[in-house]
Amino acid sequence: MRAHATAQRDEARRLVAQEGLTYAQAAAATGVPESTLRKWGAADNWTAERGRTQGYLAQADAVKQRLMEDAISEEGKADPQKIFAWLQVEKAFPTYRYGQGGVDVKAKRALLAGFLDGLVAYFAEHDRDALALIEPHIGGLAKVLGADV
Amino acid sequence: MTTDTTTLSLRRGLVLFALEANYPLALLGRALEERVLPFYGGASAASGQAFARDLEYLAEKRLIDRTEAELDGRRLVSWRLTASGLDVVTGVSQVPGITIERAR
Repeated sequence: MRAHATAQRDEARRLVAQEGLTYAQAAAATGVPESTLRKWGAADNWTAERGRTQGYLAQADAVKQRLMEDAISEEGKADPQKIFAWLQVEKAFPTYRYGQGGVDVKAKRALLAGFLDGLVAYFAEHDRDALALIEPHIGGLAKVLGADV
Repeated sequence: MTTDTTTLSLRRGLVLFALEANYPLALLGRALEERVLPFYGGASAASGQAFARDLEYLAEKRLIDRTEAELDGRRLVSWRLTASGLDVVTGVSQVPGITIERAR
């Protein structure tokens, strides 16, 4: 009984502090009354932890975006090395893990899959050399996404 | 592969955020690497050098502290965010060369 209560509290803390859910959303997800979650959150300072996590995730996302922007020149030419570097970051910190709030993992995964499709289509049209270099790595990433289903 | 200045300044900010999670305690070098090295291009000599350079830069700016200890004959390096570093992460102060995307 105690182990179950601890697991519930840990899960609620993860949803609020790591995933950025509201207390109402976390209550709906865990079945724990919102008032109880708020007491737990106040005792363990979930808000401060969420602030730290969201700050870090926003920074990580900014780095990834910048890496992608830097990888493609103003003329639309892709640097395969830089694209490869971005893919390594994406494998380590996939966007679906930490999007800006919300827990719709499937929707986020679909978004990333669509992005990868667009990326491949772009390179197929504009830069076949870059496509040849990144294609094996995209296949691996697709497998990772599949494994998380 | 050259790195543009925006990426440089964002990655330095990322190091500060990674250390802020443990503030005021230190984080072992290996743990910090796990959180940040992928953003330098993963485990490679060039990535390691770039990461080490940024750690030196942040230490010179007195935003992080480095400590060494020995355990069972092994040298352990750890890094700690300073109060000045916390000011940067929380947006209280700004430092040229470091970009904070969203101050906490």
